[in-house]
Amino acid sequence: MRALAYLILTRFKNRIKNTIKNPGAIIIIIFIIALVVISAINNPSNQFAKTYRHISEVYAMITALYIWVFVMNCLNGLSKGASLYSMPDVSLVFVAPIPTKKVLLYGLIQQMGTSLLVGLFIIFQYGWLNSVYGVSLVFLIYILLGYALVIFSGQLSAMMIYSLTAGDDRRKTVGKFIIFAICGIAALYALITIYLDKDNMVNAAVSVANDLPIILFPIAGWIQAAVVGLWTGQGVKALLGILAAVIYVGAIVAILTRSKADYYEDVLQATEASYTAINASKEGRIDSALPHKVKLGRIGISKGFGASTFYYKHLLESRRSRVFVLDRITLIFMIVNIVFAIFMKNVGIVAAFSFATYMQVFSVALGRWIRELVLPYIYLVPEPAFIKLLHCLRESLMKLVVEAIILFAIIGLILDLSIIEIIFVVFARISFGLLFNAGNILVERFFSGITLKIITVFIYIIIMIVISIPAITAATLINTLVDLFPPIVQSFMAIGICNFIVSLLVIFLCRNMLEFAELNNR
Amino acid sequence: MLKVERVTKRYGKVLANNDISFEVEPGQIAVLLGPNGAGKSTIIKCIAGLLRFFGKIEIDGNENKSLEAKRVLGYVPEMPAIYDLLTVSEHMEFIKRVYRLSDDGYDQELLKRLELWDKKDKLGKELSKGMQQKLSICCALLYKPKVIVFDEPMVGLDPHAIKELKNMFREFRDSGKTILISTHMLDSVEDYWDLAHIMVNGSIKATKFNRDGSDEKTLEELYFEITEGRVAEE
Repeated sequence: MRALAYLILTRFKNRIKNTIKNPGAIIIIIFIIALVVISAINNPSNQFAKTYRHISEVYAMITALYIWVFVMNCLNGLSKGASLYSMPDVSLVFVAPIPTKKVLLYGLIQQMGTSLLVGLFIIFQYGWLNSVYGVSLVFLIYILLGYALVIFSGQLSAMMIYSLTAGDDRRKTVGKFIIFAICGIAALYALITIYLDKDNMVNAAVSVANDLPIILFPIAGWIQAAVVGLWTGQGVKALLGILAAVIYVGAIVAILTRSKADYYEDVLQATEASYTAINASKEGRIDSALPHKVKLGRIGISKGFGASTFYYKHLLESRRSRVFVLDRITLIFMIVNIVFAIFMKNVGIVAAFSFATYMQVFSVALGRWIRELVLPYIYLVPEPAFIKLLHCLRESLMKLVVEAIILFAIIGLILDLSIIEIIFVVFARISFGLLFNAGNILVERFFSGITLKIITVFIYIIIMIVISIPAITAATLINTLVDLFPPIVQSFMAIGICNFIVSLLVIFLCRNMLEFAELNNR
Repeated sequence: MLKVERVTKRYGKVLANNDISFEVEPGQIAVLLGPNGAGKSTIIKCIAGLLRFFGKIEIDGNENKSLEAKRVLGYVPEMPAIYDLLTVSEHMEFIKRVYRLSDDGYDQELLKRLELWDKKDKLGKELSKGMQQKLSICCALLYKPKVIVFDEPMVGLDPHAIKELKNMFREFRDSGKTILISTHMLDSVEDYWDLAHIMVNGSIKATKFNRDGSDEKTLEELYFEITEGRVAEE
């Protein structure tokens, strides 16, 4: 065990040393701390008469987040399993003369650390959670710890599910049935309860997410109970939640170590898959989230000649990777935006649009044309750089138009906007999509040579903020100076026009980006 | 021909290529040798126009980033350049369309030669690393480039593919093409090279011509003298 303890401590020590030596990481840490401190200083809870939305909405969001993460992990267990290990562990630790139980314990300790790191995105939510719900930093840390525990338990469950079902289709079907049955019962209960109170659906949804039947949902519900119990001082609730989670984890560890001592083979595939994904992200390649089984359909690109071939190739790739007209990540982002709009119905379109735009900054970065930059063909093909760039953008632009229409038609209906208002909101949404694509081109044109990915991400966010300023300023000014149309129409029209002008200018100025960009997979 | 003149490339503070110059004539096979981290892949990427650099690179008399140069340059990367969601035959179709080629059956010939024809309906992501490398080679050769640069082309290939690729190198040389191969495996190039540049720490430390009957040092002797000499200096 001394060897494993040495490995854990040394890796931890080296990670800290590496962070201290890495200026990019230090800048990001300072930025996060500054963000939290500034939010805390500006905390309106210190002022008078600040009314927050009801905190039970946050409890409901915690339930939804935990259930989603846990179920996704379990479903992963049915297809490719999960691994607590890295490739060096497989090559060095698995073959070393160390008992498998100790190796499992080592994996568990490592996974706890990784789970905490994965959950750090929750800290970024402090600003809006604090201003809308008055969530304190301590509560946010509870939520983060709960999230880490859910991921940890989810990974462990996936490992057990894979171990019990690998290579046996009948067992897989039973496993799938159990997972879907639990989810189905919970969903049915929630839907019926919400339907019975259809005049007040938001409140009903919030209350159902905090009801006992949902809190009984394995792991996710129990840990939610523990987090909320700890925060509200309900000791018994917290204790029961923690106890249930500990028993669950203990039971899985017991099953893994007793029923089948040799779990190495089971985790090998998952370890290799995660190793490939980690390497891809280290090299700047974007994981294209490929479906496990791709349906080939008609073979052939069939159209295009010269640079336009890229567009038709993108259409073919999209057909093979999509579950619907839009890809899975876009659909998830849309659902999150719609849920946000439902919760923030009273605040109006500005809050829903701002949140959707914030999410759009990240979804645009996953566009297919950006993935094209990591392979050499786009640079090698003897066609004018600007024409190649335009054909590469075509598919992303088409997608953002479809997404904008569907998303804001739904949000517009939820918020009771008029048809004209919806049209201008959609126009503004499309313009932001174009603007962020232009921002991406700008980043690739001038900063693709930066080797530190963390700095690139930082620059990316700053550039997105800077190029958004003209539109935001125009929207603010127009309502002060002009009174020709309804305020929503005026502001979103100004946003759209401004963004289109800025985007086209940026794209034109960076038209030779492909001649100056550097292949992004060093 | 391929002409590299005073090329310097930095990654931040790291000097990957330091003032490199060399030429490769048509009908010549040049090899870039050197230990890991010597800067071989970087100069190959600079030649392919994938990196920014200081200096000048000409391909067939044109600046390497010009359309004329791109038309005649083939590049085989170290890591296979494959689209996960395209089949093998669609990769060939993609290259034919994007390079505006007519259908002369060369795609089929290449796939058969590298034993990929029976995999033509397999997706890129379903291929093994070696098959992906073979497909990557087919993509680079399909438009019959005059100048071809290979970055560690043998890595991951099976013996048949290695034999075929070596045959191809000779055929390309005989047909007057300009070939540059980067490798750290001396034995993989010993039977067909014309000119060798040995790189250490981002610079070319020695250049050797393959002349029959000469009593100079062998390539292997020269290589170890330079690379191990460097270790001794350190």
